[in-house]
Amino acid sequence: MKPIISYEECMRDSPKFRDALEENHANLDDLEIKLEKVLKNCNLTIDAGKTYLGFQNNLVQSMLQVSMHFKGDPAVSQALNKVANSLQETIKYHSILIDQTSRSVSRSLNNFLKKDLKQVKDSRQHFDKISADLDTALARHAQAPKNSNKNQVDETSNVLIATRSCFRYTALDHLYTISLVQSKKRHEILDPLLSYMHAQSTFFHQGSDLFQDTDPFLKNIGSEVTQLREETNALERELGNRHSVVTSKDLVPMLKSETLNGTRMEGYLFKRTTSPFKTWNRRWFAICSSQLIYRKRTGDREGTIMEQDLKLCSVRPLVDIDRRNCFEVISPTKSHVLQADSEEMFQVWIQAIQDEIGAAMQLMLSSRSSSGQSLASNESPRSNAKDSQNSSHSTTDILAVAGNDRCCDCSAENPEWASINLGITLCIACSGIHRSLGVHVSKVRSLTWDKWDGEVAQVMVSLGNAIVNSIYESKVDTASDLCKPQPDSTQQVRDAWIQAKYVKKLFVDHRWAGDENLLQEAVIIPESGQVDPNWLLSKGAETGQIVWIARALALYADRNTTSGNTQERAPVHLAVLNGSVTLLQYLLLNGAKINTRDAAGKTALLLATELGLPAQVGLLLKNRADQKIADNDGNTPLDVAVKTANADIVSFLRISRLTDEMRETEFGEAGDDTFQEMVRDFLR
Amino acid sequence: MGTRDDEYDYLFKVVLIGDSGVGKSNLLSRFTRNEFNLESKSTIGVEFATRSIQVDGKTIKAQIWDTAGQERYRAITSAYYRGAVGALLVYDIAKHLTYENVERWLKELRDHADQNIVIMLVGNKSDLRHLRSVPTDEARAFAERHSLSFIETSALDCTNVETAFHNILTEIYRIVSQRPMHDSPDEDSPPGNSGPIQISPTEPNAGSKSNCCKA
Repeated sequence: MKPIISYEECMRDSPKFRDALEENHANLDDLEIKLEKVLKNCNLTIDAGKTYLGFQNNLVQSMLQVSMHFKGDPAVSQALNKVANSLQETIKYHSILIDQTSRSVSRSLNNFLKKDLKQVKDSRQHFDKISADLDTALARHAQAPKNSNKNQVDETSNVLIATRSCFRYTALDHLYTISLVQSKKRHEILDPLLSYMHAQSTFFHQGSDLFQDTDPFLKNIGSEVTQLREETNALERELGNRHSVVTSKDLVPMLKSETLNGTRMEGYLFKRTTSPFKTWNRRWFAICSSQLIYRKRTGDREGTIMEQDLKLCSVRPLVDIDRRNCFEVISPTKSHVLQADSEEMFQVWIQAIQDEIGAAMQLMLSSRSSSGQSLASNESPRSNAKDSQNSSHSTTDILAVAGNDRCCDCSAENPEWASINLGITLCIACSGIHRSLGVHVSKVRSLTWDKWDGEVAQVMVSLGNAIVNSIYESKVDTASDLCKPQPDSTQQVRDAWIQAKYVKKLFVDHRWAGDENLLQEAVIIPESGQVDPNWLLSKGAETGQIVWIARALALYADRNTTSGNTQERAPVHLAVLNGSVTLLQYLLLNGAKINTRDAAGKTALLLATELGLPAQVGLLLKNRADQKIADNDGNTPLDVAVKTANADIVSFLRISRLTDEMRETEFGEAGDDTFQEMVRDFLR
Repeated sequence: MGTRDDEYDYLFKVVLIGDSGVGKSNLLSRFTRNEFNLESKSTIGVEFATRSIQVDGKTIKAQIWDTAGQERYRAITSAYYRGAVGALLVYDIAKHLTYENVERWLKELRDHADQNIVIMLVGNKSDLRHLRSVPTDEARAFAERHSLSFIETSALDCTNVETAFHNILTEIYRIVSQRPMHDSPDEDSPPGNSGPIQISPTEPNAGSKSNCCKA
């Protein structure tokens, strides 16, 4: 590469020099325009690339969302995740490429344009100016008249010499600048383009490597897609003859002896509402794990348990009704009228329910002989009958009490029975003997089958086998021929023991084993030197010590004793004053007279009313306390409740009275329910 | 309330609801005892009274429940509505707020009462003409929109009290008695062993024991 023209031509400022300049100027202008175009397009490419990457990123994100949709389908979700990850990698490569484009091409070219070409322009401007100056100087010099004085001539010629000298320097500089740029442009343009190409090359290489890696996986997906498509085709073929299943008949399910997931039978039935209007609703019923459950067609995921335990139910056809194919499911407390769609369905449903009842009974019997774990497994959907759910809850609580995991009398495991007045749990064999003692000694209930009121369960929870045996077996005479039964003991052994323990109370230690301090204030029986059980009973009721009451009862205390208080208050009065529902319930279960009057003629009910204790009032009414008994001033509980404006108690008393009056009429049963439900709501 | 001795064909439970002071208790006492007490105090808890009327030769016994309007007793809300087949939703024509609260009482009915309960909107105290703040037409339109029956009463001067109870009991009777008759139009000699089916607000005994057959 040479300078664009020889120095000589430059020094002479020849037309050739000027032509060369002209030509180079035009050449560089052209380059500038073209490079600017390149730069502009390059910047547009970068911007478009960034936009593209943004969208590409969004695309990947949305694909990841789709993969979330296939959460339960690992085949599809994993493939989608991998595809998205690969795409994310390519996005990364792409963004590197764009970055390099912007750095190498855009910035270098910009540099060349803004610095080098600008320099040429500046230099050209300067050269033009100096050239004009020289022309002026030349003209002046030439214009100097012949006869002018020497000084004048000298001056112009000096100016000319200086200007020419300046011009020559400038022209040479300009020549230098142009020549350099002309030379420089060749690599300054190629270089950025080369690095751009390098960047492109890297980009494609990285992509190629990536896809080489994912190739097996992509092939895998390919074959999977084929397989999935075949599956769809197969499904389509299978569904092709769907219409062949359409029949005009009812779909009558076959009854299976084996139940599937515990569901024996399900389908639609009409259910007569229990409201007075007796409307019929169509519901989806299922017989499942000894329960009868129904739900609405839509919007009712949980369903409602119609009967918690079919063991306790029976089913019978209903002829005495205006609709066809009706049957009735009867439980101890309720009756449900259901209607099947056809005669066949009607038969199948009755059969299914009977089968389930049979199976449930069978299950219960076999589980009892093995290990009997039917109790704690009642964690199922919300129950229609609130109390039955409560009962499963409270029986679990009862079994959790110390000692209650084994029969109180023979220590057999998993007792399923209870004596509610004694507060103990029993095995079936011992419960049979307890029953034979009479309800004045032991009131037996089933932990599984019976409905448990919260207050009664609370009594059970407050006592338990450990506490009760610490009283009733506090003085076991090992020398005696009576010995505590074992789980496998005979009926005779159990019978003898239970009689001795609860009726004769042979093993109760009469000596006071409790708090010594209490002996200070206790009433002592002179003959024996022991604490008076009547005093203990009153004290227990007064201070809320249920264990003292249990002990006093074991020592033959008078349940209605008025010992130790001037107002002649019986334990029921004292329990009301104490405010404990459990205590009151315990006394009532153990035969305390509910209508006893104190010195002022007040019954426990009247006292509870005066004190404004609706829970106690509810409990007493539930246990059939007589609300007509007035005190010595002639006030009945209702009078007192109205006077004290206690709305809850007024309502209890009035509804209870209504219930009593209606009891013998047809309305009685519903009235009873209303009252029971109200008290239950309140005691809860 | 001697309910044991008297005979009736149907027993309907009807509840009185509405804001405090609209005159529910006086409507009840006017209908059942023909009494009115201008000085009556707020009701405490629940009260009920019964009266029997004749419809189509049948004796209908109404058991009417009344409670204080101002408070919701937690223990009795569900007991109050349980088994109710009719509701008189009472407001005071001279107190606009008691009319505005009718919507709230309708919601309470929806939440607690049977879905088929027959509801009658009752504008009480129609004797207070000069103090009226709820126009009859407006209340009637409201009742129509919500498919309620509508009547204006005055427990004080007896206007329409009898009619109100009579109408709602008749309406309930029509609904309850018609249902079982679709299949056996001839009520007096039905086929088979069933007499006219006794409908009472009780549930489980969907039985056929009827008083007219006992006699």
